[in-house]
Amino acid sequence: MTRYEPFRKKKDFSLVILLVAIALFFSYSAYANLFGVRFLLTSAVYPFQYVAAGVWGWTTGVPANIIHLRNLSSDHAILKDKYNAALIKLAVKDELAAENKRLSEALGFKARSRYGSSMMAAKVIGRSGGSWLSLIEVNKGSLQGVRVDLPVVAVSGLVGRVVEVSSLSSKVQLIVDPLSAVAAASQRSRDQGVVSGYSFDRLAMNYVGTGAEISAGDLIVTSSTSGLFPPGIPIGTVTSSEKKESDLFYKITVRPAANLSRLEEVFILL
Amino acid sequence: MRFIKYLIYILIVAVFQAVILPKFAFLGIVPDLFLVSVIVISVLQERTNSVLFSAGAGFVQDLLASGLYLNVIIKTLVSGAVNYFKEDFNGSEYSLAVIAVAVAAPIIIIGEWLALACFFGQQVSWSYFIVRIAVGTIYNLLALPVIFPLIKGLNNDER
Repeated sequence: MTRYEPFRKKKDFSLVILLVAIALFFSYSAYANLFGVRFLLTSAVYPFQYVAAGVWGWTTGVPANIIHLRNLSSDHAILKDKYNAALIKLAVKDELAAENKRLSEALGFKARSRYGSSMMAAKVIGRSGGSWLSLIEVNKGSLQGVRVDLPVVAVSGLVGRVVEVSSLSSKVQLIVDPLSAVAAASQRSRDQGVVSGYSFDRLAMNYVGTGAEISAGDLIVTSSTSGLFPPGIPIGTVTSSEKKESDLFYKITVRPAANLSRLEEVFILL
Repeated sequence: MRFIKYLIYILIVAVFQAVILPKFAFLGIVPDLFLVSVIVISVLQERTNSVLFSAGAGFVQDLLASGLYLNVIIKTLVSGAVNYFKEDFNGSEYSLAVIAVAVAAPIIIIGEWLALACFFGQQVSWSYFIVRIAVGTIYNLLALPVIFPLIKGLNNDER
């Protein structure tokens, strides 16, 4: 070792400084897409995630499948009976739906699905590695018609919105993400507010004024004032609602309707 | 050869971080395998290689994220800091890695929270904030005994 080495090692941090400068440039939000490179790189990572998610699902599914095989025969008989009964009900419902369509058209209404859009099922293949951000990655991308800002729901309620799209996959910002903001309303009192992430399983409903009537147990749904989400999608249930005398707004916490930590399949509203 | 080996390592870590670890999340918290890997590489490797690895690892982690792209800066700074302090450190490589994880993990969680609060005006629950720091740091410390010998093995293969 020469006499120079310790001195040189201590002072030569030009590479670190250079990399930090480059990182700062790339990290600035305006360049977040890195001039299209990000789209390509995200698409390149997708096959690894997809294969890993598939292998993991298959591996963890094998023991459960063996157990389920035992009950398969009896389940099949029960389900067959239910299926036959449902077929009859379905025939009646088809007739009613056709009648409803005819009458609606006669009244000048356009038949729409529950949320006023068509839905696309998507499988969750990954989650964000960040400390605070809550994102999921789904296996539908621009090739399937997914676009940024499309709403994403689960059977029980709102999940979030698409924030980034690559060719075969998309990133969905969950409503529990601190950067998420959803225009919301109480289903009962129609008081309006903005719901954003507060912790991993809680939301905060902000900007609800002093005259509001929101209490624990109220269902919060997407508001008709939202430019992104169709109105009426369940967001969650109020768990607490507090206000001190000096406060301008209520402090409201909401438990999400959808189980966001156990999502496996979601629906993108197109 | 070394480049390809570390590239494959980063990809495996990325898949683990995004696909496998979330299945074992506790209160939505998972260990940051990228951070632990960056610290271990910075302890074991020379400065230039470790800083380049850290920038690459941070970049891949930012690819998995959206909205807040701070990982390239954070990982590069962590690597730079570990390289700076390791020259005067008298203990073993492993104990340096333990100290670095124990110090860096909470600082990063606080830093990201400050970025959220300052740049985006977002607030999170105080109790969750404290739990996140504690559980996140413990998780990262638990990941260290797995990652340290793994990367040491990769390094030894080169010699």
